[in-house]
Amino acid sequence: MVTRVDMIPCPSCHAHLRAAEASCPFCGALLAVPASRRGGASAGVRRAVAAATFFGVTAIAACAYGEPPDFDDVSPDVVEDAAGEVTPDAEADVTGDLEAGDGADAAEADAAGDEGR
Amino acid sequence: MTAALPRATSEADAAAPHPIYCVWELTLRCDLGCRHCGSRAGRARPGELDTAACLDVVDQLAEAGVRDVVLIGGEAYLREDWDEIARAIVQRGMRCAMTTGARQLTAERVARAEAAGLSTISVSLDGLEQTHDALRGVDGSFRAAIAAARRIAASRVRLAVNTQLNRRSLPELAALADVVVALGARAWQVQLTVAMGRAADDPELLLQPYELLTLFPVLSRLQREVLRPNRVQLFPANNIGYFGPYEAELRPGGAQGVHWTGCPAGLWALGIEADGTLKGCPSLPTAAYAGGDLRRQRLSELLAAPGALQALQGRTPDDLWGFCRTCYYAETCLGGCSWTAHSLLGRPGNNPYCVHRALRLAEAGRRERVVRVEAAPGRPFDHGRFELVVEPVPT
Repeated sequence: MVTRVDMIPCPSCHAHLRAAEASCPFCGALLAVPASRRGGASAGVRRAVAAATFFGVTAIAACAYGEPPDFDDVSPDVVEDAAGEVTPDAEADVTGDLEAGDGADAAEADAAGDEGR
Repeated sequence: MTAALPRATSEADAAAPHPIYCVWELTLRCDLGCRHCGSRAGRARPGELDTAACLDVVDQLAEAGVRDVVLIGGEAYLREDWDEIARAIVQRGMRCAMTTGARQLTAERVARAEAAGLSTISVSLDGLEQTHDALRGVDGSFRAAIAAARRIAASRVRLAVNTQLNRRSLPELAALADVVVALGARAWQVQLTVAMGRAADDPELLLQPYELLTLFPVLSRLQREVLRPNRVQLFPANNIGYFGPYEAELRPGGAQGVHWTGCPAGLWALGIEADGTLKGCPSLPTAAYAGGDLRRQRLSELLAAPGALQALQGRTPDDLWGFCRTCYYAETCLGGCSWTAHSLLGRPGNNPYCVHRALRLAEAGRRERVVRVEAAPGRPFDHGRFELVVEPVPT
């Protein structure tokens, strides 16, 4: 699954193309693709293709219920420490009335039941 | 950095594929009433797994080679044992994170998350205050989420934000990006609101497929001008795509050659519902994709016996239909997000929520619209039925 077709972005219109294309089928640009990447991507590209399976999960996740993975190495400038001097707030006011949604009634009951936890 | 990348595959994984990522609904109980909620969360499911059963599932996930577990709900923290389960996940060598509406993510709960070893908490923010509160169904939910996000940012737990993309949130994305940066979030996941559960009851909330031509330039500009300069990693979820001129720019790792390679459900990903129902992806409609029951079956047996869990794997372009079957990217993309397509049109393999497709149609002076023709029955992870209308772009 993860090595179906290796693709590279067109240097002109940025659409992804099969690595073996001689020209872009979308904008017509001639491709100056290194021969090593035609008809078979490098190991690095193959790993990237494999990794691509996950970076959008979320929603994961994608799906909508997932959560962003740790992937800071594509942004090597990202600092490891918590950003900024952020002071925790006092307890949020969660006493507002529930207004909508068919989960709201249950939520209100649940919220009340969680007092003191 | 490999150890910090549990969701990236190795060559060993590729040689023997197995689920490495699991999204686990600990309870369907929720303290919000979100208008887009696919699982219609509110009250707990009948027969939710008890603590002992959950801890057994943790062991089974570890033995299956899962490396990354995300706890969701409902609202996971409404179970008293949520951090006990999280701690067990970490102790078994897996990364544990949580996605939350954060209405009651108090300082005490953030401290419990920290003590349990959670790596990331992703807080849902779906717009500015008025929009967020309307979408989440509770006045004050925005302020509560912001306060919780600040607590997380000040803790050892990594802060992320996730946002629903729909007709209410799209106009506020730029302002929301500034909020994400100001909070100190390290990552921002965005996902299209999908016609499932309560969102299927409110079709006016959904973006139309042609509106991706508005959305993607906004995401692209925010990536360049706001997120990258402030070191916030943008994560388009699985239903954001596919290819076209934005793939390399928006997909993490895109500049290094990473691109969408198809739905990972059941191969690399798992979803568990609170009663032990197992799916290849947590978002998939339960009725069509339930692939086992962890109250009665062992995960190892379910993974070893090809069945509903892996139903979306092994497909070819011949399994696609509509535009997707004829697409240049058919072999690689395989119709994008199965959940999005199935929820909308009743089966996967033809997904109108695709920017490449919207661009190609626009070049021909056409666009696609979805129209609901059948309401959803009203159960968790259910869907109605929509039809596609192809029409000339209005002049």
